Order: sequence, then structure tokens, then C-alpha cells
Amino acid sequence: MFSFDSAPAKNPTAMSQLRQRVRTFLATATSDISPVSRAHTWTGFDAEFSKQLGSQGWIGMQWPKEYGGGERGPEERYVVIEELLAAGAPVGAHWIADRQSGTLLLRHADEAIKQKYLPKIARGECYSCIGMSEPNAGSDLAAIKTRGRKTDEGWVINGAKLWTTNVDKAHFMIALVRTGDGERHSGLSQFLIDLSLPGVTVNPITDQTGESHFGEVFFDEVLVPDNCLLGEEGNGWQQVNEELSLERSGPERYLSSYRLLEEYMDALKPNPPDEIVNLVGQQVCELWTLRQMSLAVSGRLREGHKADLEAAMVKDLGACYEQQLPHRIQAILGDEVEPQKKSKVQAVMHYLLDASPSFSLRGGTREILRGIIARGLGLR
Amino acid sequence: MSELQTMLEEMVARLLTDVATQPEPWPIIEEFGLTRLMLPETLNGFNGSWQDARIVFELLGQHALPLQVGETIIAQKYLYQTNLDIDQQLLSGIIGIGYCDNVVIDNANQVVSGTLLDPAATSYNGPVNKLLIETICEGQPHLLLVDANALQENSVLSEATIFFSGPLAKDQPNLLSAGALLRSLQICGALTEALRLTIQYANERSQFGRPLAKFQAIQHDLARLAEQTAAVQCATQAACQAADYDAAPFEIAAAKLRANLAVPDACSIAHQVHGAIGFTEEHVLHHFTRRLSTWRSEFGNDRLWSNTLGKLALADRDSTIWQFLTARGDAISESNQ
Repeated sequence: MFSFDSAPAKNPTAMSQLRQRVRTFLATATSDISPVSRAHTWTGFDAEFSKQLGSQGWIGMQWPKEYGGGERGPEERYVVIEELLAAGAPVGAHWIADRQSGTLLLRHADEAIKQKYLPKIARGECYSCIGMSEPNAGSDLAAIKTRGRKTDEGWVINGAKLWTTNVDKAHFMIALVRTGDGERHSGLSQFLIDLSLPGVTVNPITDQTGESHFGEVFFDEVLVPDNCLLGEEGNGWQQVNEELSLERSGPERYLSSYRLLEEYMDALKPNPPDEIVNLVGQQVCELWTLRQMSLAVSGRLREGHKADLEAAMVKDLGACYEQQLPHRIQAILGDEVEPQKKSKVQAVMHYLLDASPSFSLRGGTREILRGIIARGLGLR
Repeated sequence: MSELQTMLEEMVARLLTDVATQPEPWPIIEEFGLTRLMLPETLNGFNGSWQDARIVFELLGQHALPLQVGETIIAQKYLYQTNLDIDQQLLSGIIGIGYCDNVVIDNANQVVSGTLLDPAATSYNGPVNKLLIETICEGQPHLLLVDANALQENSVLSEATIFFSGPLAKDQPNLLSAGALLRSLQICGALTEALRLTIQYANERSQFGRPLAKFQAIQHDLARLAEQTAAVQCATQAACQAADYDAAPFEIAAAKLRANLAVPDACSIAHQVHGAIGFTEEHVLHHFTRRLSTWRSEFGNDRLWSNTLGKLALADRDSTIWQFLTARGDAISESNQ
């Protein structure tokens, strides 16, 4: 049915040493970041920090050295990213390029593209975004209408993408585009589109927190070279799905509200009443379980197994936890915390109350995930 | 799972299927040697770890076996570890486990009285011949093996004959935790079976001209049931790894609490999808859902374990909860190499 059998990490002694190195680095590199900024986790943008991380060798860790990678194992990358997220380091600039676009280029791009982009990404100097949703294609991704037309000079792209995270700061987009006459899932292809090309218009969109993490982009007769078609023409749907299991089970899928738990626990007076102790106990229990689940999925992917179903479960349960945590703290917050620390807790809490509706929208809505799980259970 | 563990799973699954139709299942189970799972080979045991026991305890839940097999396995292990030369006669029969912090021991007559914090024998779990009780003697955790005939209603023990008495061996879960780990694994097994039954029913039963499984509302409820089951699978597995490393007070508390938290939604979804037929005595669903509800209370309800966890999490205010979780996790996976 589904399996969460987890293979233990290889060489964990090296893992705990690596964990310490990351913590030591972060203690200096993030020393002046406020709790609310930390609560932004992978939506926090800091170009300078990304460069510093690149020089540590902590971007593109698993890629071949010839493309600027570190040829490290997936366990090591997992340790680094969970430490970055738990600390609330501003990893947003390079996050998507490191997590999925770089890996996709390694798998599906030609040599020239790999040479051009991967070393820059690994240095923390080149950012990407994922062009999936469109004005009339949100959860129903197969309804996309953006088109690629083959010409003698290359491919000409026309259309629009919407709700694209990082679009106003990214250097390139990996876009899902219709290239064939087929319906729905067929006739789709993936393109690398340099966002500085003529005919590209990018507009950031302000979200309800007053910040702009996503935006819209219009393509008007944008000419891209032939080698920007990634992988096989018409194979876009399958390539996108391979990419999604990388996107859905990582620690970013349960740690988005972690900052609040840490700040709240830090603010508690000595010997809090049982009501508070019990609340903390339950939050910690769920956090621990989600980490075990996320680790188990990463173990399965590492061993070369498919884990779409398991990844969807981690993301759905993780988003529910991330969304409930600020509400639970809000319901109970009172005189159990030190007065001088209360405003800090409240600031993080209110930021997360405002930001958290997006947690079950981004990267696949709750409804889409439950549909994937239902299919995995043999119901559809 | 190792090859040996896969074999163990197949053998025990077959045994539990076979005994389900037998009028006297206990002698068959004893003859098979299942109760000696965690005893050393010198006592004809399997020398099983907690990770091996996980397989058996989960199957006990999946088969809703109304016998205290898991309790007896744990009792035999703990008795042996307390006294390596223990009289094997003491290990025989069905042994329940319990926890009691208010015992009065009458040394002259070798009898004990007190109230068990957990009902060791309930109608679901089946009868017991003896009880292994953990208590505190002179400030130290202590085990007493007593005659279960002295167990009255309301978990009161009145002048029960003491068969054996000895200190709890160190570096292993206390008996309350061991019972909690057993129940969380039984909950895991029962959830797995309730999920299987519910998926099967949703695919077979048609209304409005199509199987229930084709309705999106039903699909999403079943997805949630599967998620709860998966969370408990993961939590219990990690807790067993931890229990093979040390006493695992944090991980066992977290596994039992996570299992408890899964129960209400899981039972509600399983029953809702089954409709009226699932509420009948004739249907098998209640073998699992009613046990799930009972097991949530046994060996610690949500309040007890969330309090334990909260205290552990807040014990060292100089380190963050993230540092605590990762330090435990790294130490356990290092020991697993």
C-alpha cells in the first residue's frame, strides 16, 4: 500500500560533525536576523547570504564537481538544509535553483546549458523560478495554454505564467509549455527561459502579508535557442512529476512555523502550568513524527524507490501542522511567558497567522495532494 | 526489514490467522514459542530486539487478537533481565503487565496490595494468570510478579501472592513505557487493518450509480485516514529503533501520543465510510475501532504522555528543541551502524 520503512543514514558520525559546522557558520552569518525574518525560512531573500553559502559548498552539494557541485551524498544535503531551515536562514534566493532546477538541468539539459548555469547556481549567484500555474490553470495544471512554436531560429514562446515564486528576482525560469497538438497531459515540454530576454514582462504581486514573493510573467514572441528545450519534446508532464517528489517531502514542508515554537518555548517562565507543558509536548510530538516521516521519504528516494504517495502525505500533514501551530499558540498565549519576551512571540505568531494560508497552496494544494494519495490507495 | 524479520512476519501472520478459528488458541501460541520472542536462545527464545517485536506487536493489533501475547512477551523479557537464572516455571502462563505507585508489601506473608494505574486485564485484552507490576521500592524501580487471581474490579489488587520480586534492569524502558510501546504498535496494526477494510468497502459499495471510492469527499477522508496510519507507522518504527538504543523515554512517549492522536479521526472516518453496516455487531470493523478507542486510554492517555514530553522538552532550557531532537536522532542512527 505505502511504505515508510526508513533506511538509516549512512555514516552518521560525519553527519553530526557536518551539522555542527553548519551551526557554527550560521551563528555568525545569521546573528543579526530578527525572529520574524527567521520565520520566513525559505521565502527570506538575501543575495549576500546565498553567496556565502555557495562559498561553503552548501549549494549544489550533490552535483558533479565539473559543474561546481560538491559530489556529496543526499544525507549530507539533508542535514544542511534542515539546519538552514530550522535556524530560519534566508535561503530564498537560491532555494528553488538548488532544490529542483539545478537537478533538472543536470538530468535534461545539454552540455552548454549545464556549463552556463550550474556553476553560477552553486556559487549562489543565479536564481530560478518554476513556471507552472497560469491565469486559467491553477490546480488543473494540464489546462495550461502557454505555447512554444518551433521556428528556424529556435522556439518562440507566447503566453503567461502566474503565482510564480521568486519570479521578479530569478534569472531564469523552468517553464511548462504546450508544444504539441495533444490534449491535456500530452504535448507538453519544459523550457529554460532567460527572464532578461526581449518580450518577457515580469510583475511582482503583493500578497496579504504586504510582501511580494510571487508574481506574474508575460511572454510575447520570446525567442529561446533550441537547446533551451529541456529533455524530450512532449515529455514535459512526466519530467514535471519527477521533479515534484523532490519538492514535496523536504524539511521545508513541516518547518515553516518552527520558529514560533522555538521562540515560545524560549519565552516561557520557569515551571509553566501543566496546560502549557502539555501543549508543548503535543507540538513536539508532531514535529518529531513529521521529521521521521520526511527522513523516511528521503531514505526511499535515496535508495531509488518511488515515493510520490509518501511525499504527498508528508506535505499534507506537514502543512496542517504548520497551519495549526500558530493558532494553538494564539489560543493559549498569556502570562506563562516572560513579559519582556511576549512581543517577540506575538510578532512571529502574527506573521505566521497571516502567511500560513499559503502553506497548503504552494507546491500543490491540499486537495491535489489528497487526490494523489487517493490514487495511490487505489480509489481512482 | 531484514530477511529474518520478513520470515518472522510471515510466520506470525500465519499463526495468528490459524489460531483465530481455534477454541483454545493460547497453547498453540505458547507451543509456537511466540511468547519467548525476546528471551535469549539459551531459553529457546528468538533473542528478539524491539525492532523485531515491532513486527509481532503490530500483527497482534492487525489481527485484534484477544489475548495478552504482547504483555507476556514483555513480562518474560523483563523477568529474565531482572534475574538471569529465573525459574522458567515463573515465565509460564499469560502474564499481564501493570504499573502501581501505591503498593503495600506484606513481607511476612509475601503478599501485596494496591491499585494498578492501568487496567492490566480488560475484556478486549483477555484473561491473565499472573501480573508483572512495576512499582517503586526504596526509591528504586522494582518488579513484582504476583497472582492475578487477587485482581478485583477497579484494578484493585488485594493481598496478591508474590511469586517473584527484583529490581528493574537498567537502560531499558520502564514497564509503563514498554506497555505504551506495545499499545502504540497495536494501534498501528489496528489502523492499518481499519484502513484496508475501509478502502475495500469503498471500492465495493455503490451508491448513486458509482462506487463510494469515486466520490471526492470519500477519497479525501480516506487520504486522511491513510496519513494518520502512516504517521503512526513512522513514529512507532522510530520509537523501536530508539528502544534498542536506550530507555527511549522521549521516543516512546512521542510514539504513544502520536498513536493516541490518530485514533479519533481514524475511527470516525472508518465508521463514516462504512455507514450503518459498520455499526453492526456482525461486521468486523468494531473489532478494530473499539480496541483503538480502548487502547488510547491504556498505558497512558494523551494527557499523561504530552505532559511527559513537554517536561522532557523543557528540561534543558539552554538548548533548543531542535538541538534536542537532532542530538537524539543522530545518536540513535549512529548506534544503528
